[in-house]
Amino acid sequence: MFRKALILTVADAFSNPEMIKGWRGQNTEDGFCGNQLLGMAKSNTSDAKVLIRSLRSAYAATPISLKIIDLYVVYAITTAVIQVVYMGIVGSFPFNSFLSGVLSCVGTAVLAVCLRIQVNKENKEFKDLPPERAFADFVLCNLVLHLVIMNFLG
Amino acid sequence: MAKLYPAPLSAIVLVLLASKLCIPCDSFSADRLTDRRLLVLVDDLAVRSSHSRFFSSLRSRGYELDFKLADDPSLALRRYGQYLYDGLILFSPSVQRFGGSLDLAAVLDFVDAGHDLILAADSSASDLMREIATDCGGPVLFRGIGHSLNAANSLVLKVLSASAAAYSANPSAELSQPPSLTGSAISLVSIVQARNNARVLITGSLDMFSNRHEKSGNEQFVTEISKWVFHERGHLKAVNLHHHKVGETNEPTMYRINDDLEYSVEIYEWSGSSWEPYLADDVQVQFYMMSPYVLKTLSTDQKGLYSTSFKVPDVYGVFQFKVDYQKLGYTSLSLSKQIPVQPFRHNEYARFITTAFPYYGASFSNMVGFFIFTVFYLYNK
Repeated sequence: MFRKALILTVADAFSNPEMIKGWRGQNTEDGFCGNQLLGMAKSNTSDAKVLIRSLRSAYAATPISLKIIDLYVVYAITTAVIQVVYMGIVGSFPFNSFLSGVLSCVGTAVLAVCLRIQVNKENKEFKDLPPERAFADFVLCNLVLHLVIMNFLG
Repeated sequence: MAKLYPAPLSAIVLVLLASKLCIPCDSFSADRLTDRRLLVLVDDLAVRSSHSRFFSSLRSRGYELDFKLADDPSLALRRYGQYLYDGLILFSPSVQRFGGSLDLAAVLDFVDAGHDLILAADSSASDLMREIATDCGGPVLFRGIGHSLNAANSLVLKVLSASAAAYSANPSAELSQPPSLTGSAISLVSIVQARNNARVLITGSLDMFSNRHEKSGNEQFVTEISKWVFHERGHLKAVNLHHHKVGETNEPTMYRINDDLEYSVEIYEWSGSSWEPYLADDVQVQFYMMSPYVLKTLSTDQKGLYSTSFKVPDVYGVFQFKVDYQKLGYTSLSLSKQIPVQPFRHNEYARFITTAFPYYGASFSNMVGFFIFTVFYLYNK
């Protein structure tokens, strides 16, 4: 529950009604035209800022369930990066354990991404696939993945 | 006369039969340390009386001496393949050829079989004496009483060398060129210990052994050096070689890598009448496979037991416990015991590797994260 509250707070911080209006191109703010008139250097940084702001606003519109999946993927990739850095420091002595740990993280991320693709309502390709079916596939694949990982861990 | 005749005849037959029962003689061995027979070859039998103190000291140490003239036609060292004597003393410097079946090759075979030899010569040394001395590895030159040692031979040792101002030359002739043998390169008495532990003493003076020099230090020197040559001093034996794992007493047939083991051996020295514990701090054992992986000095408990303990190296194969002890003046000890060393069995490795704990943690945290994710995903509003 604490985690859900955290996700909602983050989502609220990203949403900005004024930016949404500007993105649809209807009532642009004066700041946009003014930036373009002032010169290229300023426009580059401000273009980047605009891009980031627009990405954030678009992301804020995604449903909560997809945001949960995204957080899960970020966690898995972070764990994989930590393990690779540790292996770079200590050396690859029990190489099977290293592979098992890294592939557990990568496999988890891949399966989560597959779930996100299949469950996303804006995706036309999987329009006819019921999301329960997608979730059931996700759970079974994860079971197989963790069985293999435990075997290879040594 | 007719009645007396058969008795001496039977006596003669008995004596002849008894003489055929010769005690077979071997090199110095642990079972026969006393009652050893020595053959003494002399130029003339007056040597027996002029050197009687030396011979009586030998007899008092348990040797049986057999005096023969050097050209006695009944000389024989071997009969039917067995040696008749345990040692040989050649006090016959001027003999050109030995009698009987003895010759240069027979004397060298005698030494090669592990027996000991004392050779004394003087200014009348014959070529035969010089050849024997040369073939025993000692002198290259025999000039009168002094001789020199072959520098390439690592088994000979100068026991008594001339002073730095001495030189070796013929005293009755005038020197036309500088003498080729001078100073301490002249060796007066030298010894050889062969690789089979046979010992040879070579000296250029027969008079050194005679009775004439009673008041000097000759008697003690000659007694001690003959003790060394006949293995009464400086003779070592090594027995009871044991190795076992720490904490056990039986000897295993093979070890495993990284085992702890203990090695022990008992070394004794012959004192002339009994075996005494040998005391030294430089006996070493090697754990050897093509090269010594472990080299340790054995520590002694002062009662003859030498022991040490070490860890089997991290290499598997067939190793040997090697003790290769060569100390100047002592017999060389060469012990070797073969033992195989096996690698870990598949269930003898460490179960959890500490450097892999982050990987274990990551895998388990992924499983827990998956479970928590499903809960959040299914039950979020």
